[in-house]
Amino acid sequence: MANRYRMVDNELVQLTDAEKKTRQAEEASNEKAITERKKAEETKATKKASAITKLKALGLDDDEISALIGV
Amino acid sequence: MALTKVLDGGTNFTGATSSMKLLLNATISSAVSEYDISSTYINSTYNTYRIIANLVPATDGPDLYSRFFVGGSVHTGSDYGYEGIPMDGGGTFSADSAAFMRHNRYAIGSDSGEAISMEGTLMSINSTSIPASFVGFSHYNYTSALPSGNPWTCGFKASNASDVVNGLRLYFSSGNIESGNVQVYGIVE
Repeated sequence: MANRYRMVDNELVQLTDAEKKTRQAEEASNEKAITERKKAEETKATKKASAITKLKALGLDDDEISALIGV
Repeated sequence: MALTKVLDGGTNFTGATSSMKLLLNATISSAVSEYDISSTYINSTYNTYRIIANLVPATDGPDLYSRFFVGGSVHTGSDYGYEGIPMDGGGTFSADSAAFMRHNRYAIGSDSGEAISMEGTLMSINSTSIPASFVGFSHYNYTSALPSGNPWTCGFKASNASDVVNGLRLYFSSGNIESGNVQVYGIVE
């Protein structure tokens, strides 16, 4: 396992093996959470675009849609 | 106007009510997993501190997080809350029970010229009845090199109001801090 360091004020301190494992576990958890968050945001954006398309099909113009959904 | 008082590292003119004193000016020149401001600089000397950090992530796309130190140890419990909103009208970001404080809405880029600059104020760190808080702004270039920014309000939950804070850790959600600099100021009351 490659050495990793933290900086405390102005000093470099090498992480212990236990600290490296803890950090790696947190990084994996954070990456998973961020990936899920991005996926949810993409789904929301897709749903929004779909909703706008359907509203236009009902006859609403862009100004009316903007007034309705605030964009 | 007569000069009535000169402070070490700052000035206090007649009529002025406070000033900032530079306590730490650190440069991160090699990759580190986290940057800690220890109790050497954040302690009971001041109740309020101003933190400025300019950080480049080693990998593309992380968030910038922070945690308080309590009793000399970093506090990792899910005792933080945060809220923020990007300036471009995008969705807010928030958590009521998180194990960290978050300072950006969009992923932070690591390509040339991409980085995050943040400034925040640590407040109520010595109080045992008002939760410590960290409030400020971030500017960054996200992974498509576009500039963005957001204010953020972070801090301990009410249940941790008695925790006295004596340090701050800054780190990316994954990967190292490639380079950067950090300044810490004490706010003279």
